[in-house]
Amino acid sequence: MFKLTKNIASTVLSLAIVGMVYLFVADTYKWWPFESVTETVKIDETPNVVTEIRGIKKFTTACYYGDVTISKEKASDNWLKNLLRQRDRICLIGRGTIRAGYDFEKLPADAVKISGDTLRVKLPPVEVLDTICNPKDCEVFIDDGNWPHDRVQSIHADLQNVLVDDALKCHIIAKASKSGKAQLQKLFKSFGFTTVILT
Amino acid sequence: MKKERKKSRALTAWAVIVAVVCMVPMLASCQKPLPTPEGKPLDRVQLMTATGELATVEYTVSKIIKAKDCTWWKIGEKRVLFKCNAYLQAGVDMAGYDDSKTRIDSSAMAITVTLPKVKILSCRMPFEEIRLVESEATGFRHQFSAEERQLLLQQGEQSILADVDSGKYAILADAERNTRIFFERMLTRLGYKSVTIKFEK
Repeated sequence: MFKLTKNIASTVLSLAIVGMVYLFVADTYKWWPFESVTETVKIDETPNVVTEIRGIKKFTTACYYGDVTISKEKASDNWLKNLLRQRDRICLIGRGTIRAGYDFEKLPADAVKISGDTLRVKLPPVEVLDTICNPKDCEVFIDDGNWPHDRVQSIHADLQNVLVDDALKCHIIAKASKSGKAQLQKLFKSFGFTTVILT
Repeated sequence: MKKERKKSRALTAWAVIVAVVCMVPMLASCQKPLPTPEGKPLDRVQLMTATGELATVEYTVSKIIKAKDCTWWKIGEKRVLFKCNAYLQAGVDMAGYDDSKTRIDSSAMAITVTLPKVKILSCRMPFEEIRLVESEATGFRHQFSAEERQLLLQQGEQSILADVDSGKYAILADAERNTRIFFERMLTRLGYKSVTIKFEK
């Protein structure tokens, strides 16, 4: 009887030790059998509320579409991973759209001058109007370790900056200016002007 | 002899228990599939196009994205709550402008312009405006990972786009009104006394 009790006790103790080791390792490497990504959690239904409506006058004349991958590493906040010299890693793949053109809100008051059939328009400077890289355009390809939201947010900001830099390197401003002027020439000529000078 | 047999049986039993316990994390790691991107991850893929989109209205849509993962067989639960904004722009794509449909009466200084149909031009959900309000995990659960949070935000974006597609907002009517005002003011400034703006159907 004493032997049986001893056996049971040693079994329970051993199982407890193995269990604790498992819990520790599973916690470090996210090996929980029920923490599977295959089952996507659905968001609760919440209303989408319009909080502001504003009139704008943005004329987009060139669009840049680009894909960028960005990888970051950081020291893990888990001591076991640190001991094993393993670092937390993340890799984002972002697809973005950079829209450039004219913001006609910035058109000066004396922008338009008419003399007979000649129209002179002083256009505002071409600028990057919008950078679009929505959650649907961004994929977390590698997600190893603990990456808090604010950290991911800063990586996302880096990704957007890379996209804007790429668009500028591809001469989006010059392209937007050329395309915009061609379209405005066509538009103003259809309004009855024979000579249209855009500056 | 019997004692030795008992000992070897006990050892075998232990070996089996240890092997099974060690296998669980391995199996668990096998269960988690490697994320596969839709395309081959490249450093740069670029495309530039000329457009002529005149956006005349912008709607700011605010949304609360909340999710809870608490199936009965999972020990503990995890919850997350985000607040985000999306910006919808609508207007006309001037690439579809047909100048042959513009009618000018010089004697009466009257003009009739037919513009392309208004449409949604862009939807922007800036990541910097996505605020994580609350995130908690209890029991043996981990907080939502970066990948899981991204999937939840994608669902939120999809929900806003679904509302746009269903015509829930009056954004197109507003875009048509603002576009009309924009062209009427511009053509009046150009010297026309009577301006008629029409939209293609």
